[in-house]
Amino acid sequence: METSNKIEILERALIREKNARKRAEAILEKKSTELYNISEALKVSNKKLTDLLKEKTNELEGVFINIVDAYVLIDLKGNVLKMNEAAIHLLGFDYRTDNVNLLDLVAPKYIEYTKNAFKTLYNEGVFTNYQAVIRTNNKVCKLVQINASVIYNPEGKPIAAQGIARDITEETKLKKQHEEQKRQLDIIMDNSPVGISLSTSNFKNIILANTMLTSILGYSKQELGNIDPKKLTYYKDRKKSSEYIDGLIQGKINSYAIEKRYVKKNGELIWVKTSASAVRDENDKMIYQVATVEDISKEKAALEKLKESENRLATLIVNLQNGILLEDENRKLLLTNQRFCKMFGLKTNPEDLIGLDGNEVIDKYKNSFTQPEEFISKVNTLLEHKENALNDELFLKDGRVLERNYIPIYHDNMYKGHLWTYTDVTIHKKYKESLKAQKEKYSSIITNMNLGVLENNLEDKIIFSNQSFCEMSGYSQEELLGKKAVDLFLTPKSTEQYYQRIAHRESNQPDSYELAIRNKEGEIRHWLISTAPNYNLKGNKIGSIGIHLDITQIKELEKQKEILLTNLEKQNEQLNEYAHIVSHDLKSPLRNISALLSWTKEDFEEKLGKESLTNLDLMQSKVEKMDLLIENILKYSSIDSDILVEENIDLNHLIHTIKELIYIPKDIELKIISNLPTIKADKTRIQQVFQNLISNAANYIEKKHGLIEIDYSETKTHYIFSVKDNGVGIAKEHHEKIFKIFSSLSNSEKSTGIGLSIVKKVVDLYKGKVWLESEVNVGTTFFFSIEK
Amino acid sequence: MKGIVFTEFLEMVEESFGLEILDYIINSSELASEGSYTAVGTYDFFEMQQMLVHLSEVTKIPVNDLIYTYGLYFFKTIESQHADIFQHYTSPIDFVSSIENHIHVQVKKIYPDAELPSFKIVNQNTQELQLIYSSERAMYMFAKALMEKTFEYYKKNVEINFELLNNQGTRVMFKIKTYGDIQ
Repeated sequence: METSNKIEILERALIREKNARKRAEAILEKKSTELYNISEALKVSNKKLTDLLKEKTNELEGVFINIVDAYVLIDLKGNVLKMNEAAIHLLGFDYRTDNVNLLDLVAPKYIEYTKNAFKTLYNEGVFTNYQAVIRTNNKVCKLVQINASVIYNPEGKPIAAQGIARDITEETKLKKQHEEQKRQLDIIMDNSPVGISLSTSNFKNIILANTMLTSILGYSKQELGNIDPKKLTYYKDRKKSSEYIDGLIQGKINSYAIEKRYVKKNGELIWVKTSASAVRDENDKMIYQVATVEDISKEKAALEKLKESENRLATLIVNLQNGILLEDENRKLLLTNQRFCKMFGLKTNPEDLIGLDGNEVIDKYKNSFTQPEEFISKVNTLLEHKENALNDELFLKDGRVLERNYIPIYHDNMYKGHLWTYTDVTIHKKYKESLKAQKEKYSSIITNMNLGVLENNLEDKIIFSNQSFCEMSGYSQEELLGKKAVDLFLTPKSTEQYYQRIAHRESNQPDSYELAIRNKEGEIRHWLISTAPNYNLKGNKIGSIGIHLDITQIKELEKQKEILLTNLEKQNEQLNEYAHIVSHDLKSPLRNISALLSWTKEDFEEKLGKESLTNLDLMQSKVEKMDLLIENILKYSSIDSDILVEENIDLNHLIHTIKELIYIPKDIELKIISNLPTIKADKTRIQQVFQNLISNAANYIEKKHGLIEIDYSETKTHYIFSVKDNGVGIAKEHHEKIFKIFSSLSNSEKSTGIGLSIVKKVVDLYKGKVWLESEVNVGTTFFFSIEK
Repeated sequence: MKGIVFTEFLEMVEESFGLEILDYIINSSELASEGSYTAVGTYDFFEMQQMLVHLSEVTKIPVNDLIYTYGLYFFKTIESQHADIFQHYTSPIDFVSSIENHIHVQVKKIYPDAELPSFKIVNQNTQELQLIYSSERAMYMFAKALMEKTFEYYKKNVEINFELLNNQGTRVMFKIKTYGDIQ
């Protein structure tokens, strides 16, 4: 680099440096001028501020001196430097003439307190609400209150103190008095037997509550202060309550009293009587509400009980089965019931009658009675005498019978009214009467019937006997009463029977039995005894009743009958035996005769003439007839109920057998119309019946062409058979006779007159009947029935 | 722009490139101040820009590198003239994160008309710090140099990466990460 060039560069650099310095100096000069100006402005404002401060201090001093309260400036030792007029007046001296130290004025009692107050003032710069008694220059004690502060010099050192003092002697006295009054009020409040509360005008808070209220509600005073008083009222009573409160707030009412329920802290309800009044200011605006609260739960409970019992009584009366009329001493109707109205058919409610005059009421129902006038006059008599009249019977036109009671009511010996009660006794009365009639009826039956009646008590002693029993037993009623029947009547033998019977009988069960007894005369009699337990209305056993029938005669008759029967049986037997013997004894000579006749005929056939032979044949046939007769008698007598053999008999087969057994002429036809049944009976007997009827029919047919028809029908209980012929017929007058033994309508050799008797006897045995229908020369139909 | 920035810049140019280069860049530039700067004065940034451009031309060093170098140089001035500010912070992250809300507030008290870049913190913990540099001057490399020097001052290793949020470089995101003491 060239030197010249270098110098140029350096010169340029130097110029830059110089310029830079000058610029820097210019900047600094400008800045220092700015600083000077600021400092000058500051001086001016400082002076202004100082002046202002001075001015204000003067003003303030003036205020202090001129204020109404006493103002005192003291040095740090308590010497007064300055005071205002009020202070001169308060303390009784003037700082301009007297040298006073405030500490000397303080009453001895407050010296220590004052010293401490001075210390605090010195250290902290202020002391407020200093209160002490001072003695002024005029020797008067005054209670003063002082607020003081320290005055510092510009270096901040304390140099003096100033204070404002107030004479609070009077104020304190008043305050004390006020407190005392408040205390008295509190005592009254807290010892009051009723709860007292003071609430805000809007009824949002309870400001004051006394001890009683806290004990009624269970909340402490503090708790009450935090509760919305409206919520204390039971929700069901709130509406009523708030209507009153609104009335108070709106100024419509000034006070109210209400019975309502509060909810206690523990949740229980309590009945109270709350009386509240509004406290209003001069503009009539409510500022407080004062309330007294009385616990009325006991009274309420008692009232409830009373009401309840009144209700019960009223219900009782209303539902009574008696008609009731309660009238006061002036005969004004106080009470009646539904029953009364119904009883006399009054179409009004019982309530509508209340308050009416007794006579007016009587007019409404007197015509129900059979004798209205008599009824009224009796009522008037009763009202005059005012004495109990019970169970008067009154008859109504419709046949009912009422019983009336009249009961005058006295309270403290004063006639207060009377009660009429009517009871419908119609049914009762009728029942009684009918019962009486029934009793009489039965008594007369019992007394007069042929049965002996005994009523025994539980010890089996006789307590009643009727006339018949007395006659039966021979004892009079007096002799029977109180005695035991077993002791009076039983024989040694019947005693045993009786007790056996009793032992086997279930207790309390009716029983009937025969017993032989001995009556008063010592005769043995037979009695049929029916006995049954006797119960009273409650169903308890009170004894027994026995009915006695003398069956001695019946017994004897029975005995006689038995003897007769036995005799009859014997005689029958003898008769049977006799019949057998007779028939047997009769038959053998007949056979002998028959044999002799045959021999005679054979031996003398040629010697005897034709006539004699015919006679011999006749003799032979008479003998045979006689033999048949005897045979049939034997048969008849042997038909006996005892020897019945039961077997199944096919009657078709039986008829067939008979057809072969007996002789039926060729010109007679035997026909069976309906197929005959198979019956259960004694074959021999049934055969006798059919055989007799068929042979009878055959015997009496004289027509050329004979016809015998056998038919059958049946009922529920019987078979009915018929045997019809076209024979000679039987005249009506003989219909009964033919069934009697030995009666025959013809002189036929074959007829013995016993056949139909046998038929009848057999049919009788089978509990049937025999009858006939016949027309002479046309034919006869015999019917018979046999029990199934 | 504060005069001290210019006076220190000229000092650095003179020290590093010689009086001749300094004279050249002043003469090449059209400077209202004619190149006479005092630390207590205030000058247009345009003057600085011109000088930087001319210096870059003459030295063939990119402008940003020059700015970075100047930042490293300028830290010494701060260190010597305002040593007390380092006492207020216990760590470089503390320091750097307080530039906006504390250091610049103090600067404004002394130089009410100073136009300062802003450093908005995006993320911060004891090891890392992310912030966005905003300034019309786009001197972010100057800021990077100062921050590196700060960490060096507190003897902390640091890695500072940056990302241009626009082409002019007036908004730049710095990601600073420290790892351990410098041995």
